[in-house]
Amino acid sequence: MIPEAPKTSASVEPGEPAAGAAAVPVWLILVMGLLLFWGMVYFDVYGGWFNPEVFEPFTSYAQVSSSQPYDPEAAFSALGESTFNKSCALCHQASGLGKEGQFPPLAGSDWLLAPGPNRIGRIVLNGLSGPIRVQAANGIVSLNATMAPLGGTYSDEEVAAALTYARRQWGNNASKITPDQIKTIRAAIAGHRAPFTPDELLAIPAQ
Amino acid sequence: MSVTEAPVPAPIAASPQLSRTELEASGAAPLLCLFAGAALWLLLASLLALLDSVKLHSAAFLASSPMWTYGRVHAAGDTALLYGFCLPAALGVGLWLLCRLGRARLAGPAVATVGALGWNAAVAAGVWAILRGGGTGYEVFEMPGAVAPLLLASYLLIGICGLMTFRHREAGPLYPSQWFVIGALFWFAWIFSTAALLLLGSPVRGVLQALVNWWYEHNLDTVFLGFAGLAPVFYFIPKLSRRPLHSYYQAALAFWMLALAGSWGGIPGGAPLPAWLAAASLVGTVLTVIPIAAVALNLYVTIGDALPALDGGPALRFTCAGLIFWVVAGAQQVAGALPSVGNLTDFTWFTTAQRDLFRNGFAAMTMFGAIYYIAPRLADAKCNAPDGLWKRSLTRLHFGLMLAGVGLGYVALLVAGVFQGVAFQNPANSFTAVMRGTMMALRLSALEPLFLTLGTMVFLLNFALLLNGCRARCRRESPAVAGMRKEGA
Amino acid sequence: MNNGPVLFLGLFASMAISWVTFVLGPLAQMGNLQPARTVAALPADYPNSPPGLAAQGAEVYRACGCAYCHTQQVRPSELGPDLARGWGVRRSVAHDYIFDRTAMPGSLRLGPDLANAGLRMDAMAVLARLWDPRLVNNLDAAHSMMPSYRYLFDVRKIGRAPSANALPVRPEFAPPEGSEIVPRPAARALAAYVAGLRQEPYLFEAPPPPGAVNTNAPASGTNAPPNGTNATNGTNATNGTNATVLPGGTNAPNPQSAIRNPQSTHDP
Repeated sequence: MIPEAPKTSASVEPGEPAAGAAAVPVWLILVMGLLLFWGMVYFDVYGGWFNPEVFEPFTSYAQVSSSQPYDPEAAFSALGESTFNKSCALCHQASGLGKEGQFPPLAGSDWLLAPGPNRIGRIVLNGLSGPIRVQAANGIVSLNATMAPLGGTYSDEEVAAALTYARRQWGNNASKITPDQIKTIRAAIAGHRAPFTPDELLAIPAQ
Repeated sequence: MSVTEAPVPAPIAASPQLSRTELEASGAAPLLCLFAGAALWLLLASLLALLDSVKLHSAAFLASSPMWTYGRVHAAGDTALLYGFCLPAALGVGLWLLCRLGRARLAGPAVATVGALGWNAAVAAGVWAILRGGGTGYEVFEMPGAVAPLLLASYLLIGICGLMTFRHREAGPLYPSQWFVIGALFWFAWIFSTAALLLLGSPVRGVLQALVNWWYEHNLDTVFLGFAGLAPVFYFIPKLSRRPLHSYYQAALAFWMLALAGSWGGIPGGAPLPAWLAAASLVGTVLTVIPIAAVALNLYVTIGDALPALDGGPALRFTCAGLIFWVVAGAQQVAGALPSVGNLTDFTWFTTAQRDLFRNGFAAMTMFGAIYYIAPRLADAKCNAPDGLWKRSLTRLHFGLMLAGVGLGYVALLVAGVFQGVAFQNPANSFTAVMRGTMMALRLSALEPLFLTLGTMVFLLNFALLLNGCRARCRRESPAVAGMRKEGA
Repeated sequence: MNNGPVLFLGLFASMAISWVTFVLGPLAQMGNLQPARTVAALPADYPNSPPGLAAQGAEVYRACGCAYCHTQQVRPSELGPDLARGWGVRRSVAHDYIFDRTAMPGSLRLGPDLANAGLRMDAMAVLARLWDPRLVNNLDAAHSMMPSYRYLFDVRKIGRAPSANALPVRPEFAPPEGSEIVPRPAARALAAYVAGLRQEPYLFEAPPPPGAVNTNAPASGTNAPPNGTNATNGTNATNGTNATVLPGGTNAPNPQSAIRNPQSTHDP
């Protein structure tokens, strides 16, 4: 609806503008739709889903996580700590002091801090039963040991890690025990079903 | 694209001379105060920009004084341009449009005048503080916290006058320019309060300050100045070409898409912010293609084929030039946001070129276009041929200077930016060598503030002549005017 | 859309969406970032609050408007050659700025990025540049467009003994006989600030690239002073470059700085 144009003489001011009613062109709507779709896809792919720890060029939290540098030592220590706390600490306590009359202490324990894993590896894998005498940080402790076998529950790596953790905690400072050493021990005692007794263990060289 | 029954009113051929006189007279004091102040601030802003431009290739120029350090001059110049010129001009033009389109008197002109004076005082204090070293360190938000309350209060005074004028409008459908003006009034209040609170009042932690700063700057430019500049564009182009605006609905689409998409953006690529913010910013910026296309098409169809034959005076010329610069600046902003381009051009003169084109090319020119139309009608409301009150040679000179300045500066900085970005990609090029390669282009770009300064001086001269002439005429004609009033009342 | 309230509601909604996305959301997510653990063989907390002089220097940096020419944000290698230019070991992340009173990452580079300036320059090198960038003994720097900041220095007569903080300058550019160039406190603060800017420690969100060296090893071949080895976690870099000492620069391995010794050919 074109309005009647007023006099074109420059001295008469043109009237206030009116807005025509032409429709928005369809192609513009289509372009808008396409751009909105593109926008959603782009955000989905590159937006890291609102995670504040995802910075370009990463596009997802998983990608950032998997790009972290892997430190085997740190991972081994972390494994040892978590395995110990899950299992060993239930009896030997997180403080490594054990329970009087029931569970021997680990802090400063001469059994634990032996140069090699021959004895403690067997204890963990097959369990322990019988009177034991432990020279620990807080004196000599004698009690009747009853420890369940854990060889079936934990892998060589976990056992080695937990033992290493205990050997380096509470003032202890002994060598690392490797998963291979535990593997060797497991093979050596393959036929032995029952828990070991302390006397049996003392017969085996500590190395 | 058939034209159906329009839900919009038939145009008024011409308002009765007397009631328009009343309209104009009601707004004269505050608006003329805003416009005069704005022009003076633009002069200062372009002088400061010129000083900065000179310092870029003569580093020793005025280097012994802390007040004229490049960084401080840059901050002061930006502040003067945006808060001294763009904002008051936008407010003045917006208020006038609300009066005209709502056919209502300006509500509370005395309040608006107080607001205008308060605003200018705040900006003056702010610019002085910046030159003395009290700037906040946030781009485009350098005025120290002490002036923010005065600034906001003055703004609210003027804004409330605008809202009251809008409320008292004549019943009937709104014209797109009215949406843009209301939108602008609303937008600045919100973004400024947010920035003032989160950067000055209770500063947020770390890089979030930069985020708020970037969000504020982007919204100030793309949305606020966009709205403020498009309001007179949508008004003057149809009016002065004596044709109706092609499509009301396209204007509505452009308005809402600019508000929604234009407010998402501003974060440079690779910024130390999570990926999701960078992605959101990019998506928003790309979506601004829609309002750019909608506005450009709408106005091109409205005026396109008639343009060569038209003589709408300086108002139409400035407004059309401003619109074209808006489209180019907007397109460049979209291009610059795309990673493939942005990785080359981020942190180079490319972005500066776009910002300068937007502020000097679009915002300044549309404001001038409106002022060329409005000022004589305010100064001498009873005059029959208000456009003739400007000195024609001076308006042509002003237009030519602005066009040349903006155009040359834009091309120069664009070339400098692209060169800088490309040369920077090779780590073997030392940074100094990269910058040295842009020197010629930088020297050329100094013409922009130079021409802007000269153009503004020409405008101020013209304005002074206008006011002087009107005053003289009013004194001469007073008995006749009194007679006319008695007749028409 | 002829209705005032409808218009207002629409505007409110549009603004609210933008405000929630770009202001409120990030504020909720990152508004209270605390120092994080670095990704390293011996993790430590990063960042640490900058020492006093460096914090004052940040104010000088802000007041001089340095951020209008220098950025402080390093982009990842996928987005730009910042890392290839030696401007850092990793990209900048949000954690790098939590102790900045005014975060100034900048948006235009007319000069090099300064996010890791502390890895390339010590306080004396910064002072040299502030006095006159073109006098830095480096063929390239002769064409620098950085302004001189001589107003941050005093040229005064040598008293009973030369000042401990005097700036050593090559004979051909030396001040008149019997005078020395002494940086004012603002200059020393600014130098301490810039020389303390480092963002090396790798973090969870910016892990080392595959095959990077042990992240805790002190970077070799930098201008970092010997004490700087404590600062690989970005903390006490200023401890070593500490401008409070700034004697003939005994803490700096490059005591005569770039002005006298043609040492720094590194792209600054």
